[in-house]
Amino acid sequence: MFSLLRTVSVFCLIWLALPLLADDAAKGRQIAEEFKQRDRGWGDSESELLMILRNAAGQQSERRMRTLSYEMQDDGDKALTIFDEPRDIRGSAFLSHSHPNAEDDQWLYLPSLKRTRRIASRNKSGPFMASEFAYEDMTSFELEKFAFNYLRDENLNGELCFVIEQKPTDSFSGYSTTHVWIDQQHYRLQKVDYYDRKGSLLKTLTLHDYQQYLDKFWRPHRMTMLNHQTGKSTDLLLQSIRFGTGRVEADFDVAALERVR
Amino acid sequence: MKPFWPVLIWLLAALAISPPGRADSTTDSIIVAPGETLWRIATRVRPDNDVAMAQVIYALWQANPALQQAPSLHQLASGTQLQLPAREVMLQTPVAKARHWYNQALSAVAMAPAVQPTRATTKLAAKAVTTATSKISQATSTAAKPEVVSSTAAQPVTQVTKPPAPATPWYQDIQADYTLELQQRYFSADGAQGQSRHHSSAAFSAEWYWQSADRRHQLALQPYMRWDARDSERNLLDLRQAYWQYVGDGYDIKAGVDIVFWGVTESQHLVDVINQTDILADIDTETKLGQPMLNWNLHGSNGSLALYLLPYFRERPLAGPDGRLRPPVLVDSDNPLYESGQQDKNLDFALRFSRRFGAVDLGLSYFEGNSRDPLYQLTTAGKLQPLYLQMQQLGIDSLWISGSWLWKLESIYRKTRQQDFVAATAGFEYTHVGLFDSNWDLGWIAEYQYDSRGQQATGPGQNDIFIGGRFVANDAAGSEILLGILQDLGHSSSQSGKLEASMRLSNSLRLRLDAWFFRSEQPTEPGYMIRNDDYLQLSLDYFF
Repeated sequence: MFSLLRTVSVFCLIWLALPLLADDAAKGRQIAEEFKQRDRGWGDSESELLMILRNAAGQQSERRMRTLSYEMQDDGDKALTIFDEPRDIRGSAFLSHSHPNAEDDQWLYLPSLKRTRRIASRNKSGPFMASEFAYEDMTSFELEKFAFNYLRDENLNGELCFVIEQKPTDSFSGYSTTHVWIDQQHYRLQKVDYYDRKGSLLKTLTLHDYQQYLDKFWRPHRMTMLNHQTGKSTDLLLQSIRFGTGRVEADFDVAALERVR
Repeated sequence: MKPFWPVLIWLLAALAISPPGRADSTTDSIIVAPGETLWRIATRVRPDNDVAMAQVIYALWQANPALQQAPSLHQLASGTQLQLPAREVMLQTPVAKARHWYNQALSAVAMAPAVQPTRATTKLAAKAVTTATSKISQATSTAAKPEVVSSTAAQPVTQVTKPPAPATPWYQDIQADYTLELQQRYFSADGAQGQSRHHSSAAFSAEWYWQSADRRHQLALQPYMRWDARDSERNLLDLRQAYWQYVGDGYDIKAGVDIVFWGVTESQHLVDVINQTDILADIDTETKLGQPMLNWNLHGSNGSLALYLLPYFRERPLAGPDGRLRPPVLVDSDNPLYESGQQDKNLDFALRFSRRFGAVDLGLSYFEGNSRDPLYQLTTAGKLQPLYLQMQQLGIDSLWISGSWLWKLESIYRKTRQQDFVAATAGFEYTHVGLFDSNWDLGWIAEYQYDSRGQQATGPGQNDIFIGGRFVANDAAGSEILLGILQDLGHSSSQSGKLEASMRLSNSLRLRLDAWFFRSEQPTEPGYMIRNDDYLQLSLDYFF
């Protein structure tokens, strides 16, 4: 009798809680949609990046690269990264065509052999240029690749933020989940906590020095990724960014890779 | 009451972390290294994350008249001594004000009419952010004009705008890269003909590249020079690239010398037939000589079509009497024989169609002309004479990506006056990332090599299997190791193996270690003549 009562009350609680859970998922998704929506229409851009890698002992090394990006309307964005330093890999280029509902297509061009290699994008959890950023952190944000959940509102550095949980739907992601801070005024990413496959906090990304371009699009000029488990960190500095470069989709074709300098 | 000791620890820690001389108001000085920009210096001297980049740059600017007089904020003369302001001086300027000043300074640079928004300049000026910053402000309509701001920060702006730089000459858009390679080979035994065990060589290559502002025209020039201390036949002066290319809508054309790679496999490259192999550079046949060509490429949604006219043939370089890795009988490379009456002026022709079907890449190719692989005839003088036959070759190359697996196939059908044959390479590459929860990657390569000529094949792979493992540490030094073994399935004693390891020593230096061994007991095999030529090779590459 008592156990029956308990079962009934548990059922009632679940039924009461379900709409709340659904609400949080819907709100999380809504925030992510607004975040994506506010970043639509930038067209194409070209940026210069400096990466500073630090190990736990504080030793530094630098990476320099340029990234050309092209916004697609009905598909994931395309991006081409050309490496300038360290000099032994200068002229190497990484091309990525991201897809919301399929595995991304990726190629690597090696100038010494004049050879373009197609690479398996499933290996996305590997480090990008030996930094604390993984390949999957560098690709374009697509709503279809995550399940969202609103967690709470929270103040961060004086900005009122939404905190949402963002779970990768791809089982080959290196993360079990991520917690994302988005400021409520401009919908800019302020902080991301990455949890590894075992559920422990792995990395924290913080984004700084936002500047607005084309009167609409905010870009952080400094991003810091700290690995809590190794003590290593990487600063990614956006040294310059330019929009409306006149590039066309054909400039992001595989055939164009060998012309890249 | 809250315990105050955490605060105390924080204070102590802060004292320990902040370097002496920065915490107080005394100033250090630094020297500008060649090619260093203000940004780079600022990233170097920034005390901690609580100081914004703009604050660092602004304080540096204020403290140094040399910077205020520079033609641009980002072109610094190397060797200039700069006063390093203290952390508190940097923090004196509010972040917003410093940032406003910085943005103004950027747009001021952009005002200079000289700076053209071309991509080529970006790379050339990668060391000086000048060009790139001009692009920012062109994109941001708000930053079109420098305003005069009624603060102390306004002063710098007006000063920066003053000197308009002279117009940039076109040749400043040329991107120049140079590589110097020093190499030492140690053979495990003396050569069969008494050649030395130690061989030193040096190589230099330059690469100049220019692109027009509309990105339609490109010019590339890449000379390569090699000098060998023992074998003069290994000396080489080559043009790897020297071409003009025009990129149209859906097509491009190229005239001049270039290197073209076709194919997907790792252990050998069967379909790759445009360029002659520079076998003396490395026995792995990956290094090529520049090939003169007229090339026309068409790109569409149904795939790409590439056509090549190859008006001049490059002979294969072969080792001289003092060189290693050669047949016991010397090759008379000065007097090659050709089947074609036009000899090395024979007009060769090639085409390749390639298309991507989702996870599958497919390439179909055809080649007609001088065979890149020589046959050898024994002359009455007791030397070997290279013979280049005419050949027709059909090729197919295909790659299929399935998760972390890459399945690869290359196959050719080649027809010459002497014989027809089929050859193929098929296998897979599988990469395991994040080995043992580390950053390490381990890739496995397995490929089967087939040649219908059997023991008459000119290459080593007629019924062989290649197994390789590639270890990538993903560390700051970019350390990599590749181990591979090629085993003849018909003769258990016939095998060869290689080790390729490399790591970065600095931003511009890379150290490589390569090693090869060769085993063969069959005098008919190509590997038999180099069975005593196991070697270890150390190379140091300097990039500048």
